[in-house]
Amino acid sequence: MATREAGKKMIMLKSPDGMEFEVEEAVAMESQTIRKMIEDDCADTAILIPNINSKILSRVIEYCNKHVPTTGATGAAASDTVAPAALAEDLKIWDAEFIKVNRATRFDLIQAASYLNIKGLLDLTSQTTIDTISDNSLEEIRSFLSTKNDYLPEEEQTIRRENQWAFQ
Amino acid sequence: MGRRRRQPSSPSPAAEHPLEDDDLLREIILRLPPQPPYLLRASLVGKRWRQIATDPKFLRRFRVHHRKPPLLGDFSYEDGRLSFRSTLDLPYRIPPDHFSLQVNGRVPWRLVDCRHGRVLLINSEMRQVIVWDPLTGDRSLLSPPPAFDDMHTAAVLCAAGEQGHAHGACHSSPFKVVVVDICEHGDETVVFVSVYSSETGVWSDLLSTTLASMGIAVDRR
Repeated sequence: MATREAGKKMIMLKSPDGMEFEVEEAVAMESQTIRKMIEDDCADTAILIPNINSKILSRVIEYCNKHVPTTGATGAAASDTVAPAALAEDLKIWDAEFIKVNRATRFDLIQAASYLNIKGLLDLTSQTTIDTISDNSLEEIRSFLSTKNDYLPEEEQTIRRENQWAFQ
Repeated sequence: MGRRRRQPSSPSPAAEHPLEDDDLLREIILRLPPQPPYLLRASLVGKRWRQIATDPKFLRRFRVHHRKPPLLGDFSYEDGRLSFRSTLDLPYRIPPDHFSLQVNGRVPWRLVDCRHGRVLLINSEMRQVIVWDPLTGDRSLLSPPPAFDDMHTAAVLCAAGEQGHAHGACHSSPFKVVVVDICEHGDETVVFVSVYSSETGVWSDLLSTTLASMGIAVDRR
């Protein structure tokens, strides 16, 4: 339920496995999907987040909590005293720690970031994934991403031949 | 092969591997480094990867995402031979002979510019300009107006006018060449230029400006 606590508007997010998370509206609005629901007045009661389990949803909320702009209607803000560059550096370090998760969790986070439309989290999760694999062999990439090679050997050879310069 | 798309109103069922979803796979491939060998190599992972990596709409987004055109390497020119040196690491390093251009080495060509994927060589003696696109192999030989009998320098640039064009794959886009010459009259220096447009195939009328002699130093690369 939308309630008020310490002058901040709160909102309830529900995961399909029945967990409820009460978060500040500003934090929830880091998600453009939720922001739209709130702005369209669809969020008077708790918002059910389909297909994102409580474990992942709590991580997403943790991310939004950290990334919500610190200046707000409530006045005094941390960013008044901390230089923006230091703040950005702090966030970068925090992000690097945050994304130290196993592959399955990272994929779940990508999925959640995409559905909830949280650009920063989508950038972080997708970029980390591609950075992990871009220097690996094709076989390693396929196995890392559980993707099958669906080319016939001759099809693959043709593409390799046509673009030989890129496949030294 | 079926293209699976996520319904905008809900995420994919949790059981499905996220990379089975084209939208998510696209988000990941989008963040590859901007140099073309990365995309080409990614397209070998599987057919869906190739479909994404060759989709013009995706490629436009890819360029916008990376903003700046990617640097593949640099060229040097000596005795009629242009040599390419890749700045990428293995396995993405491009072999030097992949980009090669032979010109008549007996006359002094100068490599004066490289921008938006095109290389520009000028030959003041023959009053000729070569615009070369190393990726496509296209090359144009142009003759600047007679006034440029001793070209000082020149530049090539992409002239794409379409909205949202992000330089990086300008190969099919029109280009412009600017040739510059100077002549000195006593205390004054007259700088004159002409601009060639590949769209019209015409050199513009001469544009000139007068500067105090000390006021100009055009780098002769």
